[in-house]
Amino acid sequence: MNPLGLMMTVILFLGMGWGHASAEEEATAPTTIVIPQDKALLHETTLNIVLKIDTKRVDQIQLWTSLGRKTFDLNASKAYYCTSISLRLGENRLDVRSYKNNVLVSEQVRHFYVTSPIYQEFKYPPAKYQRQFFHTDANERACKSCHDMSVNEIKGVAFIDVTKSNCYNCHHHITRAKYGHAPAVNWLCTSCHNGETGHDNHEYQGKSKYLVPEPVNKLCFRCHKKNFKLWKSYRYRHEPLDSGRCNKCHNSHASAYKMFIRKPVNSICMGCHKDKQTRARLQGSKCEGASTNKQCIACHTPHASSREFFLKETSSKKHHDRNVTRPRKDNS
Amino acid sequence: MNKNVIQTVFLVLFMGSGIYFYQAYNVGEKLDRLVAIMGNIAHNLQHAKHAYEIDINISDDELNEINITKISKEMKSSLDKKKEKAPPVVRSAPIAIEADEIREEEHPVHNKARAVKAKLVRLEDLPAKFKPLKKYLHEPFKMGACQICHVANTNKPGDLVRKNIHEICYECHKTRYTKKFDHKPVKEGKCMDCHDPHQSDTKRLLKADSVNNLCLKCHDKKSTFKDRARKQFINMKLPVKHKPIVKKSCLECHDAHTADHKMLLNLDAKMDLCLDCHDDIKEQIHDSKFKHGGVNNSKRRCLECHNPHATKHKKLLKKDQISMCLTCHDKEVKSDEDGGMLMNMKKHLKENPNWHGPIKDVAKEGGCVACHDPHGSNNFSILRKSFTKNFYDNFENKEFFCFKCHEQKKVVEQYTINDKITKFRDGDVNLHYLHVNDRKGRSCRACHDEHASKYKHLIRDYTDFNGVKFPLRYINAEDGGSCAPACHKKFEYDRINPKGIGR
Repeated sequence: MNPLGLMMTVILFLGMGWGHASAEEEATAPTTIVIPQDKALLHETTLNIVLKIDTKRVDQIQLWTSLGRKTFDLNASKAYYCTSISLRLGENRLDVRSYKNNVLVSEQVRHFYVTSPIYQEFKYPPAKYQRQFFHTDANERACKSCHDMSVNEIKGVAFIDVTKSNCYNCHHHITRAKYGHAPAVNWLCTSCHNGETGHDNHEYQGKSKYLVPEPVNKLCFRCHKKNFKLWKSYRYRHEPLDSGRCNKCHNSHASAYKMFIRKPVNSICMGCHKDKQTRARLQGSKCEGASTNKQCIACHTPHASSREFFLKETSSKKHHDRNVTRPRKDNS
Repeated sequence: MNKNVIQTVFLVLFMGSGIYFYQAYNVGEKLDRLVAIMGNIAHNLQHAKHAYEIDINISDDELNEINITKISKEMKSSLDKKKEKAPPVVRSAPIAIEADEIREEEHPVHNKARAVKAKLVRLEDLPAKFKPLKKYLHEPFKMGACQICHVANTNKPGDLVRKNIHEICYECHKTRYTKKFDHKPVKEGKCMDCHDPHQSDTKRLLKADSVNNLCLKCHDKKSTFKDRARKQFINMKLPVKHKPIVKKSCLECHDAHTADHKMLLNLDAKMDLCLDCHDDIKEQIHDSKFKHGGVNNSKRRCLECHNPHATKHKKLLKKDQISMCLTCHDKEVKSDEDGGMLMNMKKHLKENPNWHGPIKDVAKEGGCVACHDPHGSNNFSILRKSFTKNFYDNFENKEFFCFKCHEQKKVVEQYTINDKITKFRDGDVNLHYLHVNDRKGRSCRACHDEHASKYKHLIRDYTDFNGVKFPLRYINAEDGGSCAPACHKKFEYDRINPKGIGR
């Protein structure tokens, strides 16, 4: 292990508590970024930020990212401020600028990397970026005065008013998309975020209270039992299904696309099978759909099949007869 | 010659037809049957001892010689020659009886010879208080053999041969005390509480005009008799009465003297006795796949819900139907079907004010038993018709119970503007159709609670999906409403200004 890596691990192990302590030491700076630490590796394109601001010296904060600027005015009574910003995939730079009477007082910079398993270019982040975990006892204690971070979820009973969930307050952006996965939009978080680790993320054990065991398929198939049975019986299985990483294509919280897939069907396929697109077009493969704008799933099934190339078993019965005459509405 | 030939031909024809008819119409069998019927008539005649209404004038000398019972006995024995009696069963000595022998039941023998210096009193010579004679007479009384019971030649004409009256009765009626439980008057030897020793207008020489009235002399709330009898009173003023009591008598179930089961019953009171007559229920209770714990597993079985005599409520229920069910279902009860816990229905109904029609209007719609069969059923939850437990279930080709009352149009018609068919519409799009008919058709119970709900239209507050309770978050509006269950985000529907669902 090289000295840099060692240093990174030390930083990682000390986590946010260390950061908090160091922020108090740096009393000279008018604005401190408590969370997140520099060189954080993220999975979501939304990020929660915690700032400690000396309101006597600062009256306005501007958050600059590559996607734009976010400004907020300050309230003299508060010392800690929380907000969330949007990020793009890949490397991001956050610039926190503090102003007093429109004069720049201080400027702090953080670098992040948002990774995604379905884009080849963002699949493997540079080694300097490391995952960070917030939900440790030390961090929760620090935020206790404003946020109740205990689990107020009753096992097996969803919230009638989801905003009552303690998780909702900070994480509500994850369910903003059009199609929401039922456990997520009903804020049954701990049914998946049980704090356990699987063999894929064993190294993170004990770092956060709400880890998800990876591979996630055991959690998925706890509800989607029928699918599990069906797919298991087929001869050929798609690699993500076999390795149990359902979350590679599906976003388990919410998505703009049906079935909670992270992108439109074809682009999600082409994310990995990039060669197929060009080869089909240029070299004339047998796949007829590749040259038109048909969806891949018109012929292929994304999970499992007993036919080669994941070709579909039978035609879908989804679209059934709807030739029903509608009654005319009276004008009155 | 010709004459002879014709005669023989006719004779042969006549004989042949005779044989033919004898065989074709089973004349032999019919004759046998006729003989048997005649025998039965004779048998019945000699047994109908109490049925005589005519005064028979027999002289003293004749009476000295004739012993009716003896004759009848002889007749009977001659008729029943083939059916020889089984040897008498020896039983343990009964309580409080000093009979030297206990015999199987048979008719008592009134032998005048046993009366000391037999002197027969003619019916005309009887004291005035016995006249006019009543319909049924005690045999010794009818014979004029007063001395079987009474002391002869004393100053007091009523003096008895023995001190205790029951001892006199048991001299002849030796067969009573052979079973486990006795009626209290029988046990105490108070035969005269019920029977008149001389004559009566009622069969069995009863002291009342009917069996039921005799029983109610003691077993009445206002009775002056002993406490226990009064406790076991039967209020015959109540509107719903058990048929055998009204049409026949108490003796239909109870034995007046002694019986093998409690309450002087011939069969076990809890269930066997009831099922002896109620054959259809017997089949249902024994053969049904799903059984009601109240009948199958309870302490008092039938009597858990029914009163065998008379009540205020239909079907001889102890309480009105819903409170009857809720006497047990006021807590979580273990189900007989799968061992799971059944919900606390009383609490559920109390908490949720909107009730399903049948339980809201019990008199008209039938209450709990409109859907559940309390005696058992082949459908789960002892439902009278099939239903589903699943969230997703295709209702096509399945006779779901709901459609017994609710029209199937509700879910079948894709477009409608008729409020009577369904109000769950967005414009003319039937949202029931949308929910039920798609690839994953939801069952009725996915959204509706079968018993009661806080919301209109019996919309559930939580639906169970994969073991997780998800709220439906239903909000009722004037022309529509909205719903935000786990299945989808908040969708609004409006019958007049459609919001565009299902397009």
